[in-house]
Amino acid sequence: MTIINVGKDFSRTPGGRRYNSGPDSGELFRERFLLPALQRAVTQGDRVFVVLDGPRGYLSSFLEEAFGGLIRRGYFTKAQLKRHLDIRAEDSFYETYRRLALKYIDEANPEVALAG
Amino acid sequence: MEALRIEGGFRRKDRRRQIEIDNYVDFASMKRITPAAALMLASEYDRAITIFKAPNWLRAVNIEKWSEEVVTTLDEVGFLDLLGVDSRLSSIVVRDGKYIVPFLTGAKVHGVTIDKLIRAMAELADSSGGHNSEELLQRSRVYDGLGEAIQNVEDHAYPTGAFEDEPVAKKWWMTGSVEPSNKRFTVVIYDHGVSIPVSLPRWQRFAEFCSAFATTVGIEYDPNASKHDGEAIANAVQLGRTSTGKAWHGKGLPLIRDIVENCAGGTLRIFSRCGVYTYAPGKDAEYSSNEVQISGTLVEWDLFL
Repeated sequence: MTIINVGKDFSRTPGGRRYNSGPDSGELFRERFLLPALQRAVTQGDRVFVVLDGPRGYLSSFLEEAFGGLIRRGYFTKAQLKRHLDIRAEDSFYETYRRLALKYIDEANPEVALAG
Repeated sequence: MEALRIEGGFRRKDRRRQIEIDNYVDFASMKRITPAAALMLASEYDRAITIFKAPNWLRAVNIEKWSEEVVTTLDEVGFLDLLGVDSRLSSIVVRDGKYIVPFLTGAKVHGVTIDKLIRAMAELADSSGGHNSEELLQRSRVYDGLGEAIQNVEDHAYPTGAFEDEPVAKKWWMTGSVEPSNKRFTVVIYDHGVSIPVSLPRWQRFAEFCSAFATTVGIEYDPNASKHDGEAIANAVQLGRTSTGKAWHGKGLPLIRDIVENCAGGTLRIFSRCGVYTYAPGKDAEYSSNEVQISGTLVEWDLFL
């Protein structure tokens, strides 16, 4: 089991969508934290817990790129994320962001063909 | 609007790059200026510094004849510092029960800078009897709203090729003011971009926008015509709110509006080109179009926490 605590492991001030949007972007979080942890989890039949509590807040573009981007970029299927990704929000303030992240996964469609 | 006219005049003047000609700033005729207007002026001078290396050729004159209120507001926002005029303030001070935070600027979505503004406002509020202001600002999701506004600047304000004849700094500027006794926080962000009405054709749901605009206004949308800019902004915000799940980068606009819903009260105002959009919870959104346009987009949240 891998736990990624966004506020402690990544940033208290998450940024925007892409690398070129500025520091601590959703793309950076996805590529540096989510993707490798999820690839390991899928291989090992494990789960990744992402704890959203801690940061000052989140931009919708950050959440869409980080979580919806996992589907859009063709890294995983929605079924794989359902089995291997658990997004958590302990404080009700962060529950809004948890729901948004799940919504972006649900709404995303692959932009590239899935490998294999 | 007086400040906006001055701003427009300045832009015309510096476009000629008349470095060798005597350029000066004299606001002796100005009676008052709001922090938002002061931010716009500051942004223009910051742009002049960035692009034309002012203030080597730009100087303030007759300051002793300027209105005390004008000088102080310009000083508080950080404008005088841009002109190389020594600040008369050693720290941020309360005036008429209100503090103004010097402007911050950037070119990217920089969460640390947003956090800096939030912390500064919270510290000022708590130093005058406020409690847990940082927590209140966080719970109001001010961070998200400012971030969405900056992401919109990043995504739409400065498209490639849009400013070939008129160099811009491709930045955003923001400031905040605090009125602790009323738990009132005002946050303003401004950019020099193409404006919301001009950027609409680049949005993914432009066809839907055009349909909604034609229904509500009764004419075809023309991004080159500014007469209905207010309606254009209102339709863009409304379309984002009724989004049915399609990917749409314009969804930041309704999120910018939603901040005022998280507060005890407040008002959102968006000025973009000639359009003015005003929203307060529990009321219908209001919009109108001015004859005088501003360069870019200014978003102002007036929040009661």
